[in-house]
Amino acid sequence: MNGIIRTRVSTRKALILVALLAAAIVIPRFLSPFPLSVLMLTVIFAILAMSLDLLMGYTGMESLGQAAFFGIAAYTIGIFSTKYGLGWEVAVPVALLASIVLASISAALSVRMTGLFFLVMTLVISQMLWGLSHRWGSLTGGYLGMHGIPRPIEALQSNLSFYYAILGVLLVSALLMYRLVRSPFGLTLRGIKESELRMRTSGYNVWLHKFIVFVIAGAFAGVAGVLYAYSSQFISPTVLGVETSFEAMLMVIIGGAGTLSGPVLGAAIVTGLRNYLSVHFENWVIVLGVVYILVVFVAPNGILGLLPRRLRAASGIGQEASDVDELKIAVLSRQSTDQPGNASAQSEPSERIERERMETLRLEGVGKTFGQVRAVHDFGLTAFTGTRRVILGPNGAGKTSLFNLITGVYKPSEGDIYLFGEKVTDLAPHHRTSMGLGRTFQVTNLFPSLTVMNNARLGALGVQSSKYAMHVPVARLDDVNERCRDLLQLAGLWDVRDALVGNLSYGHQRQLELIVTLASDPQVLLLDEPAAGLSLAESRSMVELIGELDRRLTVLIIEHDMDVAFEVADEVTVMHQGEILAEGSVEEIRGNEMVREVYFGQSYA
Amino acid sequence: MEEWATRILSGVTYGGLLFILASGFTLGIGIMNIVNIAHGALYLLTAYTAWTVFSMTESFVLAIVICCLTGGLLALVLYAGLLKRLHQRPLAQILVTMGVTLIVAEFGVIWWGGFPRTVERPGSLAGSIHLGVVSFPAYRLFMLAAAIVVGVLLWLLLERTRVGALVRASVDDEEMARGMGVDVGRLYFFVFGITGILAGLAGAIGAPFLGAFQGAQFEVLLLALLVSVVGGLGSVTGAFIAALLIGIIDSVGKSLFPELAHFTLFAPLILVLAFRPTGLFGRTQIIK
Repeated sequence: MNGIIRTRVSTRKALILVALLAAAIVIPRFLSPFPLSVLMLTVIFAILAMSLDLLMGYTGMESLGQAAFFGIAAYTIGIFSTKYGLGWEVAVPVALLASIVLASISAALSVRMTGLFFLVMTLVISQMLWGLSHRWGSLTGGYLGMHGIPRPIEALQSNLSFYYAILGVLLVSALLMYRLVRSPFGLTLRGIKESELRMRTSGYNVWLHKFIVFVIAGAFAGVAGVLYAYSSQFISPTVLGVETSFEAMLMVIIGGAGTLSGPVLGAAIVTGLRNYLSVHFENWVIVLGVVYILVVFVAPNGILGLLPRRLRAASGIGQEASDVDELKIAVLSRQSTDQPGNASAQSEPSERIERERMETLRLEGVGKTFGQVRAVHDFGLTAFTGTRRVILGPNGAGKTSLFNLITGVYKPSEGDIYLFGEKVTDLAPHHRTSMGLGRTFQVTNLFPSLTVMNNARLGALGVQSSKYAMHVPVARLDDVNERCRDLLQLAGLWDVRDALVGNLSYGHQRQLELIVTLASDPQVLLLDEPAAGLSLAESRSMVELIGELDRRLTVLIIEHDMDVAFEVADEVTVMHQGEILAEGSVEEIRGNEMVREVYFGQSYA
Repeated sequence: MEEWATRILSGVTYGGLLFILASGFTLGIGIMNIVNIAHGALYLLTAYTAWTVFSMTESFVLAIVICCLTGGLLALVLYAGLLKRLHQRPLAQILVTMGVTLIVAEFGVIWWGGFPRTVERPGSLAGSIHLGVVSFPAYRLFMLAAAIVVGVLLWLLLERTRVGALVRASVDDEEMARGMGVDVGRLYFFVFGITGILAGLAGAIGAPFLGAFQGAQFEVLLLALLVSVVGGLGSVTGAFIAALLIGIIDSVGKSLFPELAHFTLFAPLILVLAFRPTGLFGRTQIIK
């Protein structure tokens, strides 16, 4: 039933799109020059706003510098064609190159920063170019800007034909960006927006993904800048500075971030408002100022967020872009040949490896201090294929810190860590994940605004090179989708695969936490209190799920629940104040006096 | 020798003005995590105000007082009316203060007209002062003196008073400070008022040097950004040193490489971004 509604929504969406496109092609023929010029600006700013939305809406990078890449392309066109009289064949490629180079430099500087610092860093880059264009008058024309930029081709002299040309560019850009956001790479961007930490420990080089999308967005902004220079045939420092950067952001927010249609709508509203108001009202900038304030207080989720709920549902706005239909076809068609529930995590048993007991993980004298606090000290551990070891210890014993050291979230202050015999002490988390390390989090760390299926996919993609693929929809990655289906079926989550994770019950979220990690097919699995906060029944099914794991896996498990701990593990390490207090088999630890005193308390004895 | 002394002195005194322009902005970031885009607009409005007061009364002191009051009052209205409700939402605060910038600057156009207003240097500061071998414009020396006074007062306020201790505690751990009974809301109200007073002071002292003109709202924002980022976001000490450094490099660089005059102002920023993106005195934990 859900599927029927969705199909209807997507059909309606397609119809709206076709109608809009027809209007965009037919109506301009009958427009007088002024509305046509406003429409041209709308098209150009739509591309700019979409490029910013790749950063803001999809990756969660709120950039205040998008005008820099727009403006530098526009200025390159201006300088090349008016100062040096070079044709568009030279000017356009150089302009785009300028945007890409500037975006790469800006990304290298700013991408590591988050929140306020990213905002300021992008702002300062854009505003610095603005200042430079003011001061470098001999090249840029100073605050007067540059006039008389010639249109490139004879056929594009009339505004109408130029409009059709840039409409074509808009459509191509939109199509490319649409493919991008539906691709595996696009999914990783949404994952980064939701939880960077989870992405880092799932095998993603988050920095690289952010860098790539920043440069791509800069390139599209450059396309818009080229069109702007040729379209208005005049540029001034404003195109580089905060005013344009902020207006692009305003467009994204008004239209609705995180969709590609939103920025187009926002561009139409803001461009229309700006141009029509300025004709009728001398001090129209005040209205623009009021719009900024109103948007924050009244419509932070865009103007469509103000619509009644029913209308929104009908138009399909505010839902995760649904690639579900295709997926169903792709996966269900295979189901007849594949036995459901036959997960690869437990299939292909190989007794040979089981007997060999290869070393998988070794810690030598590992320690970590935070200021004066010694979280972990002189910790040693060797684990083999098939090792099932529980780490016990009171709160603050350093158990989770230990996991953060093994995964590389923390750098050890002392000692070394070996994974499959290789020293990984200085390797970043995503490298360790791709070597075969997986972890779950004590506090559920998933991607709440994505579907169950997409959460699992992000788990699986982390260790595959297809995470960088941009040309194919994620729904078509059959091997990833099959693996995710198997795992979700194993945990009984297949029926809720299209639900947003934020809407799942806590018990389901805990199970998915494990599934997302298993999706990367780890050889060494670190489970951080998998049963924390679960009811007795939920805890049982978690134990069953862990029990069904491949016996060859190395499993380290932090657990407070003794029943869970002793059921899944056969070796125990007891931690106290960051150090190993005792280790041994379950029976040995049960009988250990010291452990009882520290961990179970005197009353136990 | 004299030439060099003059150049460096020019740089240092310009740096003094830069510090005054940036101090309120960087204080807002450091203590309240607020990037007040409207800082430049407050400068513009108070610079216009300084022009009006000075042309009516001929009293520069009165202009400074009225500008500080205007700036402080406007900041309080801005905070109480809008920003208070956007606590710890940096992007929302930035968008709202951008809106305020546009409104305030356009109000300036309506009230004072679109053309620049330059305040004359007040009588006693109009001439030159002889310093050993060089003679130097008195107003520039006044800017430096004012910057030192502002810097010392801010330092005393933050490091040596009870209010300062409460502020530092709240910056460090706001929740804990609340838990200990500190009225963090009132404290922030007070601090944001100070950032406004500093913007007003910048308007009054900057008016005879930079002038009041449309575009100043973004020019001053740029200068404040330069100083804050080079000094390390939110560090008042960093801002002071960065301001002097930027001033000196700009002044000396311009005379050594006249053909690069448009870049000299940004050179320290580019160097800092390349080698120490957190700024000279920046908190390092911002980079993961």
